[in-house]
Amino acid sequence: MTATTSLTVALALVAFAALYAARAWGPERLRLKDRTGAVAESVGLLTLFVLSRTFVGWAGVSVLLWVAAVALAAVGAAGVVLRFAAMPAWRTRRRRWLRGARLVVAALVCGTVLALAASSY
Amino acid sequence: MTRNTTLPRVVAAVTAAVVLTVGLTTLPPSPHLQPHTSGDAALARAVERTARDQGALDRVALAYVDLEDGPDGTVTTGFGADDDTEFEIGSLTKTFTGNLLQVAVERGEVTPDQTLGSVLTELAGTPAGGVTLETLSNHTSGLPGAPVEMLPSLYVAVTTNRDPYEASLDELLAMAGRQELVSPGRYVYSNLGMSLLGHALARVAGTTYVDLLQDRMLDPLGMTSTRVVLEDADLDDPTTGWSASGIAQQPWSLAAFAPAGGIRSTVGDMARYVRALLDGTAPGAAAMDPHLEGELGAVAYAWLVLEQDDAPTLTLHNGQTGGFASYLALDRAGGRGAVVLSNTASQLPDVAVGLVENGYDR
Repeated sequence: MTATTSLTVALALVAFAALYAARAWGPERLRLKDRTGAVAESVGLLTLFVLSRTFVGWAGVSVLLWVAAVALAAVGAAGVVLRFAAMPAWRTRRRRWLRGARLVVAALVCGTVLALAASSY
Repeated sequence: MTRNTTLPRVVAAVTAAVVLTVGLTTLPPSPHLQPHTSGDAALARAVERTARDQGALDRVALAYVDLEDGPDGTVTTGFGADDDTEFEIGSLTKTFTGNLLQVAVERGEVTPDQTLGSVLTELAGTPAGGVTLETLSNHTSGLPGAPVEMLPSLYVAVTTNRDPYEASLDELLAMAGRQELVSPGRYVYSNLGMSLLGHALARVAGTTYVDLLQDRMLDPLGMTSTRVVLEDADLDDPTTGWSASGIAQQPWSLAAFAPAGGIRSTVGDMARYVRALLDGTAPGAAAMDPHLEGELGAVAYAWLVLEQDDAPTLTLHNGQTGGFASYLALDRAGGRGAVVLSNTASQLPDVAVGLVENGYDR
């Protein structure tokens, strides 16, 4: 993996952590709408952290990016916990099958990444 | 404030604290070339910038040998490493296997044009069985780099920072028997071919590759800190290797592929090897003599011989595993040689070749 690729992935990690925090605390139109989405996005961010830790070299990238991403994730996680009880399980019944399919695909991708990461230690 | 509003806030704060704690205790490693810690300071100064520019992270150890300087002509230095720090030398192992072929020829145990199948009888009648020991030594047998059926698992193992070569000797032979030859006579760098050569030489001698290497190369050279460990589980506290971008790698032992890259050594031992190669006392040193038909300098047993217009002819080989790189270069006519070992999978050719061609200011 080149230094450019490593930097790109590290910046993506920070961006997704910032988005996660914004969806936990930000304005209504950005906010997480249901528990399913909250769990899915939390697992997705965790997977991105694992991917960045396991398959990205940080020799040419400042670890401050990692620290920033962790801080944003912590802020986001606190917001999700605070709002979790008030959220519905599913935000709507419309096009439920499509969302379900997307979640299954996402789960498979996350599962694969986490399994590969586990096998590399 | 009621209990109903306090509890969620406490849980949220605890969650944030857990995320912070876990995140900050799992900071990704960010290795950088360590400062000069052992050996000759002038040699360290001469190579530090080149090593850094070519991507060395963490540890580097190197040796420079100049026969003109007599017994004092072996100089070593290290960055975060000393003469006893162990490195995976990767495909530099092939030079030992090439020399073992020369030794076996000199002892009359094999002939260069003997077929592999006449030694490893399991392969008789297969395409692999028909190739000669000589063509295995300079990668012109036509055997692929690795068994084709290994490629998917090899890719996954490399992606997940693991040793991709875990086949036993029986499995290696079974896979070899199923291979088709690709462009025999042309240069195709083959870990499979070199591994088979090593095991064939051991079979003829009635021993294993590890014991053959020990008896005919390591013991005569006094390389007491050099070893082959066939099982990853048998390694105790190995030096951590890093990918070129700084990802920690699991050690490579290479199992049955050891004759192609399984040696672990120190710069102290490799300096002895370089010196013995230059003064001709290394077992099988004639393996380096160019005497084969081959492309890209592959005209000797395992060694590459590069003729240059305005610089000395170089006899060399390099090596790389998931987390280590090595480079050995010799100017045999000039009596100068260098070897560089690094625990980063990033080649340092300019360090070794630069020393051999230009020496350094002492």
